[in-house]
Amino acid sequence: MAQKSLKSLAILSHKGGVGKSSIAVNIAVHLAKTHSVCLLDNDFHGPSLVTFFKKREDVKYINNYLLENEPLENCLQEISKELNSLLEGKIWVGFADPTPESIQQLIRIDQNASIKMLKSLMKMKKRLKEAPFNIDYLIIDCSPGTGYSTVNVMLTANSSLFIVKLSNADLYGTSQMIAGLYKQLKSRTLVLSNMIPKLFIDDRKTKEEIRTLIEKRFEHDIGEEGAVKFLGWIPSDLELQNIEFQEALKALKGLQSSRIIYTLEQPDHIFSTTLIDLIPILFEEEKPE
Amino acid sequence: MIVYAVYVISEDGRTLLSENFQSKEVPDAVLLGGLFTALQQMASAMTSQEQELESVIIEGLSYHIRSFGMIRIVLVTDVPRSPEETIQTLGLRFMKEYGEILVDWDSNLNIFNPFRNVIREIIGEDKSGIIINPIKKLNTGEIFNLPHLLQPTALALLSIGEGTVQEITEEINRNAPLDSLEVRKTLRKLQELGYIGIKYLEGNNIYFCTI
Repeated sequence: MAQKSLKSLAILSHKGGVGKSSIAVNIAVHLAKTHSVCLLDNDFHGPSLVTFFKKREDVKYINNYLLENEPLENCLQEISKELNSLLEGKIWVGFADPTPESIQQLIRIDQNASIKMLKSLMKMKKRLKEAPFNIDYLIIDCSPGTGYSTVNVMLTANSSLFIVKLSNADLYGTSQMIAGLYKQLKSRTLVLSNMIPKLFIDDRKTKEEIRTLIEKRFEHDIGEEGAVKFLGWIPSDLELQNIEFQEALKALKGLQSSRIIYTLEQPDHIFSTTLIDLIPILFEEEKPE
Repeated sequence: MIVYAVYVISEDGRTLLSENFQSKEVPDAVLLGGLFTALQQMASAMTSQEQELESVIIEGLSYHIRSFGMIRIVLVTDVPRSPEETIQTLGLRFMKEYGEILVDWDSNLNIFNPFRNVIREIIGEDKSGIIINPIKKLNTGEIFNLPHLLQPTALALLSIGEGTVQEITEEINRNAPLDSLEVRKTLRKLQELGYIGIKYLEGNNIYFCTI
């Protein structure tokens, strides 16, 4: 029997707060409309998938699988039905442990622990192809910056997507980070700019001008033409910021709150349509023109 | 039995040739030549029958020494039992090839280099049980710093623990195509760098790593 293929994507950033997890969740849920998807929280320093999905108490954290030999079945939660009964595919989520003890443990991660995690990740990729998972797409949300856990994911994923905010520090830092990683790994690297004002998205001329400048910056730092593919922009508008703010307030007041998954709940929103258009490029599934 | 190294030493204590089969550190060839010649002379002087030193154990490794006229062969193994047949074959083959040359040898060490293949051939005749251990552990940082062409092989080996060239090639090809010839090259390079070991089992070369 032919081995089922699994496409994997690491989602990374130089700094935190660039919308990495939000993009990971939205891509994963969109793909789960028709396929089986595994979404993994590898951001051990600031786990955030728990803010999108409700974790069942009997499900173990993915840390337990990666570091403590807990069976994978006990560490992944199938959440398709809880999300939307219309999803034809399935989505399995691996939550990172958000407790202070776990975060402290992972901050102190050493070379021995890192290689154990790398081995577990590679074993996981094989296991996910089999029943009951039968996964088509694996999406891994990484910690910002370059730690062992991030390098582990880059070593195992087919492609790496860097999310960048258009601020000086982030753009420069991301470019340097990619240069350092690309030099050693030569892995397929993509860059997506998030949280761009919607007004800018509508200005085609300025958009192309800035795209050229960004591509030149990466080319200069990496020293290799075409090593990194710049995918474009994800817009943000006042409405989107307002919704996120309102949900954060609800959580502060102890009310039930969950972050909006746009590709599921508002598929026609510009955030969703832009992201959905990019998904085939992320997984090298572009149809020839 | 694991064979670690073979040394060919002249009567006056110069190392004519040495061949290592292991990443583990064995003594410097020049020092070893002088040391064993001195030990041999001391052993002869201390025994009434001028008996030669045959074996000595240093830091867990056994050094088996035999004289063949103008040369001595030192075979380094992990067991005290002397591999008599192998050591005899090595000494006699060397004397057959270079005995006459040694009579008025001009100190050119390069002329002995072709004998390296003979050593490998003799040791390799019975490779079963020979294990060449890695001297470095693989970890995320080490893999990251490897030349990127070696990374898929290191990752595949890490994933399966140990395997033949074919098994490692199959593992690599789950992610990216690489033919077995290229895989062999990368395995050899990783072995040179000390990251992977090799053992000979039932006619197969089994590569492995430690983490």
